[in-house]
Amino acid sequence: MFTATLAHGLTPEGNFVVGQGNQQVTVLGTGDFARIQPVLAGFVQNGSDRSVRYIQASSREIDQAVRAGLSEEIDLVMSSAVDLQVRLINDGFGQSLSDELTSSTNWRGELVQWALEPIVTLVNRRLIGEDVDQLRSRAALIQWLKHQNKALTATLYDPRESGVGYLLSQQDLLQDTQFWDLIDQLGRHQLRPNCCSGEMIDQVVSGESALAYNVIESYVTPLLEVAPDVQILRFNDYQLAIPRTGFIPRGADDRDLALELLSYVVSDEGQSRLSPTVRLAVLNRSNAGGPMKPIRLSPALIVHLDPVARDAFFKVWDQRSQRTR
Amino acid sequence: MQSDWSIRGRLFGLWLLMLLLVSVAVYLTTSAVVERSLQTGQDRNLKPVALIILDSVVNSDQGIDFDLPYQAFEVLAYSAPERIFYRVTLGERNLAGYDDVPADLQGSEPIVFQTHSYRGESTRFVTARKRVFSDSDLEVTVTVGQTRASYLTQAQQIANWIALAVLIAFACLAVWAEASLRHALKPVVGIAADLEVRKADDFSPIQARVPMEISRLVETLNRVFDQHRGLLAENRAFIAEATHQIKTPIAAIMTRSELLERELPETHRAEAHDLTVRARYASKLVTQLLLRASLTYRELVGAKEWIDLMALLQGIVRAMDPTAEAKEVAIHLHASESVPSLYADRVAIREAVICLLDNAIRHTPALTDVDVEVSIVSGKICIAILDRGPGFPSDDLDAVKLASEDGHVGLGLEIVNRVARSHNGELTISDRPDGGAKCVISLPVS
Repeated sequence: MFTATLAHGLTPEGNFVVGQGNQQVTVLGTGDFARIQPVLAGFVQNGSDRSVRYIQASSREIDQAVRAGLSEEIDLVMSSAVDLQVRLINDGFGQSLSDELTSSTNWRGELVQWALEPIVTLVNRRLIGEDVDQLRSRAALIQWLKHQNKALTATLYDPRESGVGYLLSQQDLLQDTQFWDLIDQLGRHQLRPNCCSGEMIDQVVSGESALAYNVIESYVTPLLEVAPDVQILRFNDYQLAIPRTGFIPRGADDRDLALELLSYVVSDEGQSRLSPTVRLAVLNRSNAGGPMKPIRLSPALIVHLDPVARDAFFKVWDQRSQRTR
Repeated sequence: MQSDWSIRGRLFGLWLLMLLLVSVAVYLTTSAVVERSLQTGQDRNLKPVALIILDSVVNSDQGIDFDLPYQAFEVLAYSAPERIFYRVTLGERNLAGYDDVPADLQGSEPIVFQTHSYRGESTRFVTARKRVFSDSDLEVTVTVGQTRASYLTQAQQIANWIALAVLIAFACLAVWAEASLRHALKPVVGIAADLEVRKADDFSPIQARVPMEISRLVETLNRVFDQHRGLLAENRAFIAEATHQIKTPIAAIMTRSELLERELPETHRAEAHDLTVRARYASKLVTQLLLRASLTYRELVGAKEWIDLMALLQGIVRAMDPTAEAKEVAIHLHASESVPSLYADRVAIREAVICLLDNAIRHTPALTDVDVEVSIVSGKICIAILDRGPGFPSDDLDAVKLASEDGHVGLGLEIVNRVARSHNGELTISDRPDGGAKCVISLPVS
């Protein structure tokens, strides 16, 4: 009953409330509640009579819901689908916060970057062996795959099913002319695209796949201790990172409180309550493999969402990855 | 003379008005130029994106293929934090992008720039087009748009800077205008100052070098000075001449009539006496008229100096003593305290006192006293002449002067009154309570 009033066709994956205060700010977000809960709790503790309702949904549904017209109850939209977020702002669904937001990375003072998800490659040491130490760059990986006679299975996000996968593939193409060579080589062995990071990680842990290309690092971190065979590869040519962003929809009920929450999340205290892997400061971390390339908050991202661009991409994708299909 | 306008004020006002108009004109034109040049800059950023997309168009089995180049859009995104829109159509069919982007193409130009309000914001659009099929008129159009907010803000900022610069220039020019006006009016102010300190009888021409604009004024002034000097000289000559030319015949008449009075038979003696009296009166009147003219002249040329009043009065009393003795009248001069020196016209004061003293001696009975008392009352030196005569018919000076038209007093009191006035003082007359008249000339100390 409640969800029907939020937006057309939005089926929340979860509906959580933090705190009991009467001043409630409602967040529509893609991230797992468990991961953002400490930050929301910190925000509630910091003020009096506050509470946060967190509605978890998929990025695609959130995008559609915003376009269909959100309920005024939604005060903040937080998502890791940076391309969709940018397009929503470009199409005029956000509102300017520039007067109040001073130093945080943002676009147009409307879309605020509050976390970074570094992208890594996951390997199963047991299956790849000692060679794993040579795989310092994508070029090295391509070379290694070329000369690897033993068939191995690799997995990555299926760009058709996963928005993140499509976004990462396009960004790889922008960074690296060898992307299609990599897909060729992975396809020469066995490429098993997956919809979701969970499945990809599971495959590597179980040994079903030797390698998972473009995995969100923060999903992997908790597994490292329980799965000693699994190892993170950070290539030294470049490392992508997906920004998590938030904006206050035009017509939000409680703009001021939402802005306070957003400011809290980007503040030092808010950041300290995030997983160390996704803090904005991850940009400057010392163990990075190569230059960190966070996806820029740029309206150019809308171009890749265009069906024309998608068609052009999948035309090549299907050719390059079809061998195992 | 009070003037309610000044050349400087008026010229300054005209200057200000002109500067204001110029400033507004400069502000308006430059901000228009700035906005236009910034718009040109934005157009230069937009145009290549549209052209790159248009250039990527190739024919294919389904119709056409084209790229949406991420990097080109990225360049556009880097240029300003603006929203960007695009649209690709083939004829009426929308192939990519925002299908509600205005792409109305009139005329035949291959590239059109337009500004529309799109999705609530002023947006600049460039539309490029070309024919793609040899056997059809179908055109591919590519429209790329970018909102203008930051360009408009920038234009506004530049315009504000220009406004500030114009204002500063305006202020400097205003100061400059004031200074130059002051400079231009300097000769006029100089002449005014020169005239102010000039002695009343100084009619020498103005020698200062003056600009052409006021040289006529100065010439006229000098001519007026000249005329004035002539008039004054004539006046002086007249007084001197008249004194001689009129007094002499009257004196002759007087002598003759006295002679006649003595020599004529008893029957005609009364008429001769009458003639003598009238001649004496005429002589006195002429003397007084000339005295008045002479005093007027002295007043005009400013003949004041520091005088020792007591010494002056002593001199007068000494001179009048024979007249008084002839009538068996004694003149006493008193001063209640030491009398400071007085800035006055010696001759005028002397004549005034003589006049009053003469009256007093004439009207006081024989064997009485005429007193001259000098005192200082509330900052004024009072010279009182007291007699024991019949007194005045009235306290009112005007009434007394009128009454004196019969010839007893003549012009005397009026002359005294004028002298007192010309020294910022006054003449008061009254009767003494115990009989007699009291005339007081009160003069402010310096």
